Amino acid sequence: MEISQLLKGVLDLAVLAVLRDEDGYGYDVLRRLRQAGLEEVGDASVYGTLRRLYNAGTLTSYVVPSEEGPHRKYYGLNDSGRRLLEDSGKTWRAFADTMDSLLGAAA
Amino acid sequence: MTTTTHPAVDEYVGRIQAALADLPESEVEEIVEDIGQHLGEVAGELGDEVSVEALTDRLGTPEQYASELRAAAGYPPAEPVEPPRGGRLVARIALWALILGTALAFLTGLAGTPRRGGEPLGGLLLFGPPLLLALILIFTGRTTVTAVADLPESRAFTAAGRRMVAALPDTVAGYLRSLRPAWWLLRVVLLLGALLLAVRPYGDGGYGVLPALMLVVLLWFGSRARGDARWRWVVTPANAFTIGLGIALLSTAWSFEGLGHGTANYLPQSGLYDDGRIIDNLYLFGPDGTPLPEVYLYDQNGQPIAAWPRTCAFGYPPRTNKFPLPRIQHDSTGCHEDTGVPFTVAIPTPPTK
Repeated sequence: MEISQLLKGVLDLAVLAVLRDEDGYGYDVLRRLRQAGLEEVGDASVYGTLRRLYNAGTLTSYVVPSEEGPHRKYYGLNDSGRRLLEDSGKTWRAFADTMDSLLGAAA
Repeated sequence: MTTTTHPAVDEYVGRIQAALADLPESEVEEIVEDIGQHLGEVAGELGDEVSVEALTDRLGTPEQYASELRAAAGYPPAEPVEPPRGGRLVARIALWALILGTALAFLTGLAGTPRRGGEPLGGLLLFGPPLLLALILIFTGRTTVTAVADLPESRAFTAAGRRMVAALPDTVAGYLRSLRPAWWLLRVVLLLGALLLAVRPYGDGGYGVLPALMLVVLLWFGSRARGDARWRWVVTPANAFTIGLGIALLSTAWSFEGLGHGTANYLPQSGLYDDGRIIDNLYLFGPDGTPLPEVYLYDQNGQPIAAWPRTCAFGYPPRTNKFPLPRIQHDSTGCHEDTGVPFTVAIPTPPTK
C-alpha cells in the first residue's frame, strides 16, 4: 500500500503534531515530518495543509524577521488547534487499534 | 533583506501564482509568501545549480505543485483546463482593455470634482467602453482569469509587483498590509464625501452619480471578488476611480486655506467672501476719504481677487478684479449700471505721536 495514499487522511494530524511543542515555519514543518520518517510527504501538500488549518482557525501565524534571508512566517497551534489535535489523536488511536486487531486476527 | 531571489525562483513561483489566479487575491498572496520562502530554501540547498529545471526535478512542475497545494488546502479545483475559446489574443485584448479602463477611471476620479469643471458624466463615456469590453470578454467565457494571468505581460507585472514588495523593508510592508481594513473604510468615506458634496445645496447632483455607482460596486461586488476573481475586474477600476477622487479631494482641501476653520467647506466657493458672507462689491477710499474710482486687487500670490460683476445685459460677464463694480439699479425706466459710490466715509485720522 502506498504510504502517500495513507498520508492524505492524516497529514492534518501529522502537521498539528509536529507543531505541538514548538512553532515552526513551513520548511521547518516539512523537515520535522521528514525527520520523523514521513519521507513521502509532498512539499506542496504540507504548505496546502498549513493554509487549510490556518483558514480553519486552528493555527496562528506571525512573521519573524530573519538575519540570513527574507522574513519567515511561523505557524503555531492555538487552543482550537490543540483541541483538534487531541480529538484527532484519539480518533487515530482508536482507528489504529481497530486496524491492529483486524490485522492481528487476519494474520 | 540580505538575499535576492533567484530569477528561476521568481519564474517558478510566478507560474504557481498564475495557476492559482482564480483564488481570492488575499489567499494567493499568503500562499505566495509561504511558497516563496519554500522555494528560497530549496534554491539555497541546490546552490549554484538553481534553474527552473532543477526546481522541477525536485518539486514537480509549478502547475503540479499548484494542483497538489490546491488539493491539500481544500480549495476548489482549478477552472476547467479546456483552453478559453478566444485564445491568447482575446486574453491580451481583455487585459489591455482592463488596464486602459482602469487608468481612465483613475483620471476620471482625479477630474471628477466639480471644481475641475467638465461634464460630470463625461468620464463614464471615457472609461466605460474599454471596461465594458474587458468585462464582456471575461464574463462570457471568451477568456478566463487564468488565461489572462498566464500572458507574459501579466507574469511580468506580477513578478515586478512581487519584487517591489520584496524590496520594501519588512516593517513597511507589514505596516501597509495592516492598513488594508482602513483602506476599505477610507474609500467608502471618500465616495460618500464626494456624493454629499455633489448633492449639497447649489452642488451639481450630476457629480454624485459616479461616486454613488462606485460605492455600489465596492459594497456589492467587493465581497464577491473574494470568491470569484472575475469580480476583481469590476472592483479594480472602482478602486482606481476612488484613489483618483481621493487625490483630487485632498488637493482641493489643501489649496483651500479655510480648511481647519470650517468643517464642511471642502470646496472653495468662487467669488469673494468675508466670514462666510458673500461680498458683492468693494469700495476703496484714499486717506482723505475720497473714493478711488478704479483699483485692481491681488492677493499675496499675485492672483487676482475677483468677484462676479452684475450687469444689466443678459448673461454672466466674466469675473473681474477691477473694483468698484457697477451697481445695478432698477427703476421705472429700466435697469441702470451705476458706477458711483452710494455712501461717503470719514477716515479716522491716526493719532499722531
